[in-house]
Amino acid sequence: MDPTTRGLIIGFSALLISVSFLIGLWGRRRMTNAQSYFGATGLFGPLTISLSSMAAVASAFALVGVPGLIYLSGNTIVLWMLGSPAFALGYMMLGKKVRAMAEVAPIATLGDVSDLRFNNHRGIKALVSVILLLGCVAYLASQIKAGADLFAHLMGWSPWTAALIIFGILGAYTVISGEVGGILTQAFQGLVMVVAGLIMIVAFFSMTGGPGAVIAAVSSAGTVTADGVSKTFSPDLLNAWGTLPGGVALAWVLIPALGVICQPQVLTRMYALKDPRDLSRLSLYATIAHMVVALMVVCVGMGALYLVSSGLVPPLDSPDRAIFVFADYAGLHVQLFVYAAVLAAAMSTSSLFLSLSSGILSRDLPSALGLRMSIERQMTVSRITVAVLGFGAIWFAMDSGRLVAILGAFGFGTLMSATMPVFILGLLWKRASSQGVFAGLVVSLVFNIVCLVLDKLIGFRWPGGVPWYVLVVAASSVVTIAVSLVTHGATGDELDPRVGAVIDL
Amino acid sequence: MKVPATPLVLLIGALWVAITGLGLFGMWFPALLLSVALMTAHLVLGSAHSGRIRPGLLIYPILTWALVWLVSFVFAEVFARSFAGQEPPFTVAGLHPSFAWIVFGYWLGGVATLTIGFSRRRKMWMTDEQWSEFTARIAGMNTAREEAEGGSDH
Repeated sequence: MDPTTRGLIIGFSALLISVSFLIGLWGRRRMTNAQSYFGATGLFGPLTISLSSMAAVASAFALVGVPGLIYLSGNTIVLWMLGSPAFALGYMMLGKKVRAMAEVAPIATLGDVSDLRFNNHRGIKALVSVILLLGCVAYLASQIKAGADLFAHLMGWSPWTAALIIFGILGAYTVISGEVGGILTQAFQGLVMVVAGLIMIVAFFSMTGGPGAVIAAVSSAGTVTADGVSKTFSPDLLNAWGTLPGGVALAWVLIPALGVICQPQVLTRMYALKDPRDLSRLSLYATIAHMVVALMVVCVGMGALYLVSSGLVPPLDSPDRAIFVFADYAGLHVQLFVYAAVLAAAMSTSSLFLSLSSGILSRDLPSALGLRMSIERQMTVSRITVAVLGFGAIWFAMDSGRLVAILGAFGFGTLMSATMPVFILGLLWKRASSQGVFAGLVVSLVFNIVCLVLDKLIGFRWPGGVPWYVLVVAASSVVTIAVSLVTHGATGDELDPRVGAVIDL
Repeated sequence: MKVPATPLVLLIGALWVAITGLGLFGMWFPALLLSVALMTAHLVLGSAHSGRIRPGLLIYPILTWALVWLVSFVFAEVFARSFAGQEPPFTVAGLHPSFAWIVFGYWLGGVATLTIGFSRRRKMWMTDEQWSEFTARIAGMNTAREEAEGGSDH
């Protein structure tokens, strides 16, 4: 990369970070109480929430890892990315219930929703907090690592310096403006990703001439070797299911379809919506934004397949380079937006998980353990937690490479296995008992850890190629239902009538 | 139309068991088709109001969307098997015929039915009156609670 291009990319990225910081500062004006600091409850319209939700869902993995997976194994991962209807499915399924809970009592965190539904059951709140925290810290560290590695490589800095600058600024505006600033900056970063997406989609069509050229090149390429690296192509890469086992295709349809709504970054945004009658518009805007970003990563992955199968670039030594190889080949205008989009994805997901983690540590976990703090004290503790957790996560991401990679597996499915019993079954079914949900959460925590050890340390693979997190989600749901049938906590007369009205809505 | 919550939740539990069981035994495609039923059950349960769902909402978008996804998966599998290991003799808009069902059915068809349908049928999902009644009812309950708590303080 020539110095001018490098300078322009650095300048563009610096502009993105600066604007994010200024938006974060500006957002402070709208932060008036604990609800706005922790949850931005009832503050924003559907456009802001849709861009923010999409940006927080589309992590750096979606932009860097997915094109790499398309290059490696074809269309299997595309099933996940093209699951855009999941937003409508989720909002129809749960939107009005979660938003309605904010009318019942002051809601600032998911722990508050859990308290209301299950009559302040400490065990449920503690377990859901621990599992969410596990997922949040894993997500946070992997975003920091991805962002820091990318910009360290680009700027010639050490990863530590890059991480401290980028994520230090992010931590600063999160401390200052809480979730209000978080949602506003994520919406801006989501907009950057959508614009970048449109540019990359156009670049794909002008570079390849369309998907017909890709399938022709991939079908006839055979094995391509250069510089000691080989890539074998097959027409099956581009069929409906790709080349991974069918069990993976099953998981990558099912988990995003039901799981998008289970992600805390989507759940918490529902009570940030000002008017619940805007939920259908929120669903429409989030879907459109997601469609652009999804098509972008599919185009980039197919573009990389086209470039290598046509002999225009040598086979990739690492699949994760697919997006950068595509951008470098497409030219400066694409390079500028690719780096900005990856940075925006890493920052938006990081800020969400940073504020969520601090809310859990400063508000939900202490309350679950019986510690009471005033609202002002909670906000002070949360700000300190953001700072400590931010630097802790940078240290962890930079210093524990293998552990970050292992914990990176605690992602989408882990978060889903925790929220499914509490918020999906809990808010859709009056007979979901506190004992049932608690048992489901115990199963979720134990199975997540056992399956992680089996998968990452022993290399165990489940029959049929089914990913382990599908089994964890299934087990936690089934146990919740089964135990609820024979227990009665927080159901019947014990169910808060206001919560009963929410479930009926 | 009545939506019996507990039988539907039992169906959800049974579907989770069936889907993971079939998946573990390598029968991922029947499991994939059952997963659409699992999603539909959640959708019906969440869209109901006081244990009832409007038939219009059930037909479009919910069942229409489920049908679009089922048909798309079936044809995607048919064409994937037909042209396994070879370059397909034809493409649809430049796409592998099986992948075309994913793009035009699963993705665009899913959005056209579920997302657009949700926007068009919003009033069947929740009317403004239902929301207003709900907020008024909650306000009344909260006032009664505050008065009861105030009374018990004295």
